[in-house]
Amino acid sequence: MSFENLMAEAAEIQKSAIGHQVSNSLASAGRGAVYAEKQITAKAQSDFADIPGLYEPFSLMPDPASYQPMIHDLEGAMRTLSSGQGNSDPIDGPIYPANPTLDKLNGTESYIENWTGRAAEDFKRNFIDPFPAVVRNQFLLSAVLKAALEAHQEMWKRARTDIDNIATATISALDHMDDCGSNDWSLAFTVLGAVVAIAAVPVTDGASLLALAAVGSAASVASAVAPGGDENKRRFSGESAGAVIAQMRTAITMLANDIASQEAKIAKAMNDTYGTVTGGRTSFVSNRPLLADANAGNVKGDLGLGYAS
Amino acid sequence: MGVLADRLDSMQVTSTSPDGQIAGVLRNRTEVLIAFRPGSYGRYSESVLADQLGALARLLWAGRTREYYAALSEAFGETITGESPAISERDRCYRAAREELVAEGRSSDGLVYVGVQGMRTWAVRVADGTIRELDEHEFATRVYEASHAMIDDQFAKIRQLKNYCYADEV
Repeated sequence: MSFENLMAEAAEIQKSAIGHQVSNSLASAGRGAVYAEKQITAKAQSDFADIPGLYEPFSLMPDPASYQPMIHDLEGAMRTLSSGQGNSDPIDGPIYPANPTLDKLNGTESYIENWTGRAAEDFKRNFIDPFPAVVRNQFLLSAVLKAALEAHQEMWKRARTDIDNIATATISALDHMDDCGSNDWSLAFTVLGAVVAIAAVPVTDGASLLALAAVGSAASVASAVAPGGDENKRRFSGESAGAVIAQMRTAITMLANDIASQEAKIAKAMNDTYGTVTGGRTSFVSNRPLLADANAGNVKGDLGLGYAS
Repeated sequence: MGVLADRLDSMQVTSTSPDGQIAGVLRNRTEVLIAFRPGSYGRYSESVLADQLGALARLLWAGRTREYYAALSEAFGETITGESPAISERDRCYRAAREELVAEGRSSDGLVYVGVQGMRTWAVRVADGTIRELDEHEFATRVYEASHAMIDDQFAKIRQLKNYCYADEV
């Protein structure tokens, strides 16, 4: 990929467009050409002055590789949270080996059989019993966050490809428009399929119907419909420098809109998921233990540790 | 200029006349070089020679068209084997006028003439007495001049035609 050369390509486009327009105008000016040259040149430079500026924002897009450490961290979180059942990533499938440390909480039941009192009851009710579900839901949430990062990463990767294609095709179109054939070309806007909507990820909670909204990267979601089909291709044409550059401006605007629409998909899913999590907090985080508020006065009482028989 | 321009500019197409006696090369967009099989030049009459050159021109143009679409395919990253259909009124205006477009060139002494209409109907004329007067290298130079002038004429007229038909395109 020549994305690294993007600004150099932009300069080349500008130079070629100016050159073509000037020589074409001079040829049409006939005998008056030598007098009109200064004006013709100035007009061409003005007509195409905006070209480098159009490409600059794209040259500053985030590097997809910069997402990898964050994705890696979330994979680590998923390994930590992976319990015995249902430990495959709900979005792109890989199975995370169970973390045996998590099983130890269930093993505590036998230790506290003879511990009675409110603290004991609450401990069992608020921590031991819901523990597997809470862990599972944190696992799911990590998976959703990881997939969102992967989707964002894929979007930037494809955006780089698409802007580079626009530049390359524009150069070729300028090279080719003086030939006798019609000058038209098509571009595939691959960024359009980068972010895949995932069927809602149901949260483990016996009673309610909570679900996390998720998106995934088209690169990793196995069931994604192949986005590279003709519906993402658009056709452009131009028989003069002005026409070709006008089409280029249109293509760039389309790409910017496409990027915005893909980002909006991710943002919406994340906002919805945030709402679900904050609205159903107890499914994701165990309640604050009573013992956390105990003091010397009540710690041995019924609201505290209680007694052992 | 970009990769496509470079490739089109340096394109080289070769062919041979139907009678097998004249080899032709089209290169650098505007140059046509010919060479005669030893001894064949002197055996031609002007009219037969003109016919053979006309056929050679057609073959070179066909080869050039193939190379051209191969270059486009590579530049645009998709297989292109022909022109896309005319969509707009402008396209139709251009294509129709292009069919009728006549491009011509002559050698500076006027002995060789090359003309083409719509890049399909070719006419080559060699003045009577030329074969006696010029040796084959001198003749090849006249062919070079005439075809160079014709190709330049074609490009210039195409550009004017496009300017005319697509005037309000932007």
